[in-house]
Formats: sequence, C-alpha cells, structure tokens
Amino acid sequence: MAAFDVTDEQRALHAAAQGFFSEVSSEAAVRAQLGEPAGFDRGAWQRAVHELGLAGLAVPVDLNGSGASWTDAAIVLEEAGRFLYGGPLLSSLMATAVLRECPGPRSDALLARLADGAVVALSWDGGCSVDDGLLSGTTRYVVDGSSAEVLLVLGADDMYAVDLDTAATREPQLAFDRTRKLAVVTLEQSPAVVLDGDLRRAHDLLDVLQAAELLGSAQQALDLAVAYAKERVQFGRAIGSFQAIKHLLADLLLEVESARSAVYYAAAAADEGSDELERVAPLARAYTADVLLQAASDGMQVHGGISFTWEHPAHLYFRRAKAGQQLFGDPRSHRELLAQRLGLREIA
Amino acid sequence: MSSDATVDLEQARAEVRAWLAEHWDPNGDKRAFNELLADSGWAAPTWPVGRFGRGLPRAARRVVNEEFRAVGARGTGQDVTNLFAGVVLAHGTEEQQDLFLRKLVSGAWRGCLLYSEPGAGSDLAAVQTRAEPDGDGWLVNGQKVWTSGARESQVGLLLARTDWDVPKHKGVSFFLLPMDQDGVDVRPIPQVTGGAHFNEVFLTDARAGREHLLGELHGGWRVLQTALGLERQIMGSESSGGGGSRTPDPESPWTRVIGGVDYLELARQEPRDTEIRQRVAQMYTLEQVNRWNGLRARAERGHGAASPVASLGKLAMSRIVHTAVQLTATMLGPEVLLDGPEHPVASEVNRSAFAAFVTSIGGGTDQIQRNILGERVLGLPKEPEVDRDVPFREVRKAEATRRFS
Ligand SMILES: Cc1cc2nc3c(=O)[nH]c(=O)nc-3n(C[C@H](O)[C@H](O)[C@H](O)COP(=O)(O)OP(=O)(O)OC[C@H]3O[C@@H](n4cnc5c(N)ncnc54)[C@H](O)[C@@H]3O)c2cc1C
Repeated sequence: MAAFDVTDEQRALHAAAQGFFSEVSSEAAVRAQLGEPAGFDRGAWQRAVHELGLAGLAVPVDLNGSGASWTDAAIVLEEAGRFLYGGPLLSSLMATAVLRECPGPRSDALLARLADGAVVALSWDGGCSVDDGLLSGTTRYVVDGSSAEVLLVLGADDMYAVDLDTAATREPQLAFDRTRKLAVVTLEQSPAVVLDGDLRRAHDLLDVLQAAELLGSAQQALDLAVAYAKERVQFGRAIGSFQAIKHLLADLLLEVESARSAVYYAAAAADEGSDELERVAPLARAYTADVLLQAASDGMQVHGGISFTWEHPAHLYFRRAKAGQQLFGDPRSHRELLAQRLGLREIA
Repeated sequence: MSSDATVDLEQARAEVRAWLAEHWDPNGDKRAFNELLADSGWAAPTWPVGRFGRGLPRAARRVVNEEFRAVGARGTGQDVTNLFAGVVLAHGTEEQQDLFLRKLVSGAWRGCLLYSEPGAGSDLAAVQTRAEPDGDGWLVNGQKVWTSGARESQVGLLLARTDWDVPKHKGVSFFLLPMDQDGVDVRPIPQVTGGAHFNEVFLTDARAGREHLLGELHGGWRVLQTALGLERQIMGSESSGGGGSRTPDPESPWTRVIGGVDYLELARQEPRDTEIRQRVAQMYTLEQVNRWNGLRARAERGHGAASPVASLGKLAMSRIVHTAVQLTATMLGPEVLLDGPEHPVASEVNRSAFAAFVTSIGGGTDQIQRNILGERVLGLPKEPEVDRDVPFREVRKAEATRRFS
C-alpha cells in the first residue's frame, strides 16, 4: 500500500487548513463559543464551505464537492482537531462517508446539499427504531444535533436519513467538552428514507475520520507541553531538563507519532479499498483516543497549577480527550471489534 | 513515485533475479556464495559501486530482499544490518575501506563492540581503557565487558581514551582492533538466557596499528555516534525481534519470536476472556504502529526530510517485547512455571521474558533513549552535567560493581 507518500497538493492542503483554522479557530474564537450550547460561528463555516470547499471536501466533484481522498480529509481534520474547531466539519465528513457508501439518488441529493453547507448529523447510539417507514425514539448526544437539517440514523445493519425540520425536538446539552455541540434529538414517527450500502465499511470510515481529528488535538497538547517545558524555570533550570518531565514527553512523542502513522495508514487503506481497513480502522480509533487522553492529561501535569485555570487552554484539550473516550463509542469496544477481526473467539 | 523510478526498480529486480539464478544454489558452498555476493554488490545494494554496493536508491532494498527471500538466499540487506561495515564505510579512509569492507561484507570477518566497561555503560564517554602511542601505532590497556560475540570476532570496534587532560567526550578515539592477538584475552560470562554470548575482554598491551584508527585521533565520539545510530536503528526495526531474516544461534540472547511464541496464534487456540482479548488487541496495536512508523520513516527520508519517527523504533520495540511476554505468559497460565526441553513453549516464553531486556538495556537503555528523544527530537534542554568541561583525569570515576573471572 502506498501509505505515507505525501503529494505536493497534500502539503498545500495541509498549509491551507492550518492557515484557515488558526484564524477562525484561534483560542479567542474557540472561547467565544464555549458558552453557546447550540451554535457555532456561521460566518466561519460559510467560509469553510465556500472558500475552501471543506463541507464537500470528500463529496464527488459531480455533486459539487471537491472530490478529495480520505487521506486529504484526514489532513484537514487533523488541523481542525489541533485548533479544536467546533463547527460541523467532522459531522459533514462523517456524513459524506456514510452517504458515499450508500450510493443512489437519495444519497446523491443529500451529498449535494451537504457540499453546499447543510449540516448533516449522525445518530450513533441506536436510540431510534423504525416502524413502517417511520422513525421514533430518543437519540443521545448527537454532535451538531441542534443545527442539523438532516439526521443520519446509523444502525449496525441499517441506515436511515430523516429531515429534522419536519418532526423532531432537539434539546441542546451542556457538554463537558464545551468546544463541541451536543444535542438530544427525539423523533416521533418521523418519515425516514432508507439508505442501503456497505455499512461495515461506512463504520470503519467513521473511525478513521474521528481518529484523524483526535490525532490533531493530541499533537497540539504535546506541542503546548513541550513549549512550556522549555520556558518554565524552577530550581534554576527549565523544567524540561528534569528527566521526570523529559521522559514523560519522550513517551508522549512516541505515542503521538505512532498515532499519526496509524491514522495515515488507515486513511490510505480507506483510499485504496484495502481489506486491511477492517483491522486498521478500529485500531486507529481506539489508539488515538487513548493517546489523546494521555497527551491531554500529561500535558496538564507538565503545566502545573496554571493548567487548573479557566484561562489556560490545557483544560480545553483535556475536555476533548474525555469526549473522545465516549463519543461514537469507546476505545474498549473498538479493541473488542479488532479482537474479533483478528479471529479471537469469545468465551460462550 | 515517478515512472522512471519504477522502471529502475523493475530493472534491478530483473538483474538480481538473473544473478541469483546463476549463482545461488541452496545446496552449494555458502562461503563461496558469500564471496561472490560481496563482489556482486547485491549484499548492500544502496552502497556505492566499488564499495560492495550497486548505488541503487533505498526503494530498491525491498525489491532485492523479495528476490532473495523468494529463492531462500541470505546475505543481502547489509546496508542496513551490517553496522561494522557501515561504520567503516562512513568514517574509513580509502585504505581502510579496502582493508576491511570486503572481509566484513563477505562474512569472512565478524565484528564485536568494545564499548562498555565495568565503569562506563550508559556514560560511554567515561571509558578508561587507554590507547597510548607506541611506534607508528598504539598500545591498548584496559577492560571491556558485555562484549557480545567477542570470541567469534576478528575485529573489535574499540572506544579508548587517548587524552586524559580534556573533558571526557574530547579525549576518546575509535579503533578497529584486531582481536586475534596475544594482548586480547576474552572470557565468557554466563547469561540469564543460558549460554555465554557476551564476554569480558581484557586488553593488555594489545596493539593497534596506524591503519586501525577510525576517524580522527581524539575524534572517537563522532564515530561512536554513527555506530550507535546504526545499532539502534537495527534494534528498533521489525526484523530485530525475531521473524525477519535473523536466525539467532541457540546461544543468542535475542528474542526469537516476539513474546516467545506467536501471541496471536496462541490467542486463537481457545476462546478468550475480555481481558485477554483487550490485551491482544493492544499488543497487536503496538506492533502495527511500530511497523507503520518504520514505513513512514522510510517515506519521509525518501523526501529528504529528517524524520523524527526514525529514532523512535528502539524504545517502541522495547515496550513491544516486554508487553508480549507478559501476554503470552498470562495465556499459558501455570504451564509457564516450567522450564527445560520438555516444556519447549514455556521455556521459550520464559527465555524471551529475559531476552526482552536486551532491547531495553543493550545499545543504550530505555532511559537513555528517552533522554535522546527529549533532547534531540523535542529540543528539551540537557541536564546539568557535573563532569562537563572538567579534564577527565579529575572526574569522579565509576568502579566495577562485580567481577566474573
Ligand atoms: C545482552 C547484552 C549485550 C550487550 N552487548 C554489548 C556489546 O556487545 N558491547 C558493549 O560494549 N556493550 C554491550 N552491552 C552493554 C550495554 O550497552 C550496557 O549494559 C548498557 O548501555 C547500560 O550500561 P550499564 O550496564 O553500565 O548500566 P548503567 O549505565 O549503570 O545503568 C544502570 C541504570 O541507570 C540508568 N541510567 C544511567 N545513566 C542514566 C541517565 N543519564 N539518565 C537516566 N538513567 C540513567 C540506566 O537506564 C539503568 O537503568 C550489552 C548488554 C546486554 C544486556
């Protein structure tokens, strides 16, 4: 597999994404949204959609998308994660993955809307059930659920799309990860459209996309800690010269770089339609979530007392990390999936 | 990859295949084959033509490996695995390259590493073995320890002090010491894994000629960095932990199979509880990410960028081998209490539990690796060094903690 061969176009994409998120998702911009349980910066999202084509990044060109690869998507999500971007980018790319794996006119119509900036969110907790073509139930912690026009309801064996504007109540939630907007969505006999396709691959793609975003946050948590370890002086020397700190950061470096290898190997497997994806995707997802938690947590420790303040950004990464442990499933369940796919049998 | 490069690779494949078809005979004389191999350039395909290589790009290694493996031939890949020849190629004069390279590449000569001493392990710049001018060469006196393979070696890569009146790093030199001489007394040290692969080496008026000094006089630290870099790269690569191309002799302290027995196969033999399933998934993850790090390091080097990933392998491999034996031992249950030839699986798992320390101690401990990653990759400041800028003569020196013979 041709993993890790970065093209010049991808380098340019990386630079563009970095430039964009560092501006629209600066720390000040992120903080401005912390108290907003439902909203996000619409202006920035419009620019993401129309100037950079990020909403439709992986939507085929003939549906007004940019036709980018999953590796490209990972590059952009990594930068979004680095800057804790809170707009509906992850949702859009995840929805794109699901819809592309369920080809047909219904999906095409949704993909075209999505590329134009319509927010499409995912219900992943199995909280809705279908009866006679109508969906009912309460689905918990839908990312961007308050602002979504369309909800994709993901089951293990089936998939539906629901127009949220018709019959749904949404309750914005105060999320521990203030940088990300969660809602509880209740459907009552909402008309749903069935989508058919390779749901297994769709689930694997979601894992890869989420892993890419987690990686970016982990990298930034590490970078902040390393910078602080060079700058903060105690006992007459920079704290990064103490082995207790240095070794913590060296171990983190190994984890973050390994997570990067996992993410981009997984993205290449997705792009090449490789069978390896079924092992690599849950692996990357479980691993990056744990690496981010370690990076955010050790990052706080390295910062000392300042990390306990609201003003310092360390807690924002810690919040992301905690959310990464549960959103769209936990690392444990992904490792279990990996174990099954490695041919391990369960005790009856 | 450009199509030109692909054409080159396919041409290399055709050439190596033709060469093997002509010269490789599985039942033939291996020594004669190794001689031919050294001259063919296929032993180290990326090294320069005329220096036992073929001047091929890195990407050609995989192709050449594949062709060797396909017919069951060995001996290629030395541009990565032969650290002795590698260090001579990097630092040797033309005369030294002529003198040593061919013997090392053909396997006629084997090498050992005369670095560690009773008083200098992690702190190699503190070596006290002395090399003093004598005629047009040097007389060497001192003691080395943990020297793997010393009894089978013709050349010892020796770090010795040549100036005591400057700070420690500035007064050491690097030699290619001839091992077959009276002044070199090698005594085996019994190891935990059985056998005695490593040794004490007593040097008493051992002679090194002018042609045996590698690099500049007092410039040994620089040469050592190259040699250590090569060693760590080998220890961190996928093939170092068993499998691969290495079939260790029975006395080798290396891990033959990561975990002592294939943990995946063992795990699949019967239904496993949640804890084991989680640990197998974690173990598999550690192994895969290290493999991908290796692929990524190669890709990034190909782009001419220094890759931070390249220096992570040794520390990663240390965790892999230690984690694996804990896992296989847990799966074996009480069987792992046993040892000896009647319990081959248990004894191999137990042997590997020891062998894991070769990776976490040998070639620079895990702690030293973390210092290196912290300082050279992350750019964190060094610790204050009490012996910095102090002439070595005045520095507090370590004493041996134990003697073996
Ligand atoms: C199987 C095997 C084969 C070997 N083969 C060879 C060989 O062929 N040739 C050769 O020259 N050597 C060889 N060695 C020696 C090996 O390189 C040394 O054992 C190793 O570098 C550690 O040195 P030491 O044993 O003196 O331990 P020490 O340096 O005394 O270390 C003891 C402990 O202190 C820690 N420590 C030391 N300094 C620091 C520091 N600055 N910061 C943090 N922690 C520190 C170490 O990590 C370790 O945990 C071999 C070792 C083994 C186990």
